[in-house]
Amino acid sequence: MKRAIRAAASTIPYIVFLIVVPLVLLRFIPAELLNALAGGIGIQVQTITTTLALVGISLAALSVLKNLSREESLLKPIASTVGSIVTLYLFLYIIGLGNPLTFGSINIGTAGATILLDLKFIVLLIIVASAVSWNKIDSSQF
Amino acid sequence: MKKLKLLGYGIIALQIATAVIAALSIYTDLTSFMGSLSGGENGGALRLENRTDTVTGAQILTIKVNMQNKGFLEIVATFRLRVLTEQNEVVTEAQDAQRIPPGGSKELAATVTISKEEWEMFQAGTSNISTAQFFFEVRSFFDLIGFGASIDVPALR
Repeated sequence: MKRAIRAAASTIPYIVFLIVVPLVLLRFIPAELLNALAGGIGIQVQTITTTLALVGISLAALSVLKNLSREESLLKPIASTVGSIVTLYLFLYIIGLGNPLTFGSINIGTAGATILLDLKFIVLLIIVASAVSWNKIDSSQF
Repeated sequence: MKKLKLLGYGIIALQIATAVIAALSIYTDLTSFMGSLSGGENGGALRLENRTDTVTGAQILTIKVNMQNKGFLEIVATFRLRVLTEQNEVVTEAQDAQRIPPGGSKELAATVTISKEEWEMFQAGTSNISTAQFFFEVRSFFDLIGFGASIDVPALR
């Protein structure tokens, strides 16, 4: 019973921050601005919120799986590892403004005006942190 | 077990450091960039100076911008001016970069020279000069995190 409550509680941050908040914020963005972002600089805000919701559902499901599985079960480290990979994807997706393959080197704009963002160092730090946390999962649970 | 605990603390420290570096750098880059280009108390917007070389007859075009560091980290501000043809070939270019401490301000100036012949062709409408490209960039945290913008302005005869 205690484990089920803990599992349910662990999903709350994912549901709130990745599903509810983006969908609520989307309702406040004027349609003109959404069209300008999509047409002008190619940022599809609806696609981003849908992806965030899908990632939120995945992370919530993995969190439930991790919390419900027994200590000696192989499911626990698998859920932790997959969760870390999905979290890394989420960071790359957010930093890349919807394109995780930019790896922090973002170039948005149209002919005549371009905005450049160089966040490669931040991406590198996030990848290192993820790699170290996988090592921890590997050492503690496998 | 103790090693794992240490590793856990190390991961948390790395994650906090990443968040702090990202927040400070992005704040510094954006406030310096926006503040300088939108025009602050000490000017800030672009200033254009145009003169003719009395010896060669070439046009000397200088563009100055006062960059202010309104953030928490030292920045390197870069300003580049390029004159391009319709085929995107560079006719002439100039660049200036300055290291600015937090709270400080420095003037960036880029000077390009257009030869007398090219200038006469441009005024007659026979030159293929088509665009002036302005590039601004602000980098912080040991020049590792940057924000920049490039704007193409069509040349007016």
